[in-house]
Amino acid sequence: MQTLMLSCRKAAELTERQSFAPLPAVQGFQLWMHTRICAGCQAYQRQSKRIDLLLEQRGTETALRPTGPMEERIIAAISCKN
Amino acid sequence: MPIAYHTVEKREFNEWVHAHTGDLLRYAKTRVREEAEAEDLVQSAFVAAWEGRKKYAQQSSPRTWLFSILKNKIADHWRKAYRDPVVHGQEPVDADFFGDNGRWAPGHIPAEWGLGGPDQAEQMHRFLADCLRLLPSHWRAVVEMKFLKDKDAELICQELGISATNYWQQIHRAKVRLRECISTKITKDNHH
Ligand SMILES: [Zn+2]
Repeated sequence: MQTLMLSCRKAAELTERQSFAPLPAVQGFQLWMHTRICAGCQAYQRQSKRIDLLLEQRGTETALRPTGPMEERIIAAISCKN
Repeated sequence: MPIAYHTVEKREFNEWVHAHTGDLLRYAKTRVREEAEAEDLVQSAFVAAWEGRKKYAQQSSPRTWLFSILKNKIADHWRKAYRDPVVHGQEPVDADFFGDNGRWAPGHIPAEWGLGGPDQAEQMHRFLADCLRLLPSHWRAVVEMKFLKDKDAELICQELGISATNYWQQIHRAKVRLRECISTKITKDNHH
């Protein structure tokens, strides 16, 4: 039983790992067990996913500002190169 | 003939500059600290694209291609920041988010976010941006790499020169801190 009980610290770490790739079966089960009984880690998991989504969406939500002068600068920088 | 060929190519490339600078800059600005850094990165991405234009070969849209070059430039930026010993010098002490028993410490237990309202997404993005700014550079590097390298942990560890164990520890600490910062902002906002 001892080996099945994850600490919240470990559960948070595994939550992060899981967002990269599926966990090995035993660890996946341990995490599932832990989050079933731990409200804090349940909230953490949901919010961690939400943050990842926000991180991925960044830079698409704000209004576009005119970048004319910068475009001219870039074109000038390129014009010196062949 | 070669001269004419080059003129056409440059004209086409200049059209790409006009068409995509805005989107690329907007993307970069949310992913580095300073606006000036974002502008430099976008410019260097265009220069790299111009110099490597023979590799483009229309296998993807110009937009996709330019974005992939920009992402590499931003990843380089964070890789350098991560490896900068000066930045490492300011390594924060891991706040006591967890008790000795490994459970969430009192006052740090994640609770549901009471969210609602039509301007929620915009507000969340603002909170996230503020909290990212508060994150020490090398922790932010660890977070940014996740999305710049499309969640390829092996590649990220290689780029940062650290072990997987080390990476999991750092990104989970960064994430715990980021989550708590956002939570605090939501709570404060709800009380207003
Ligand atoms: Zn827990």
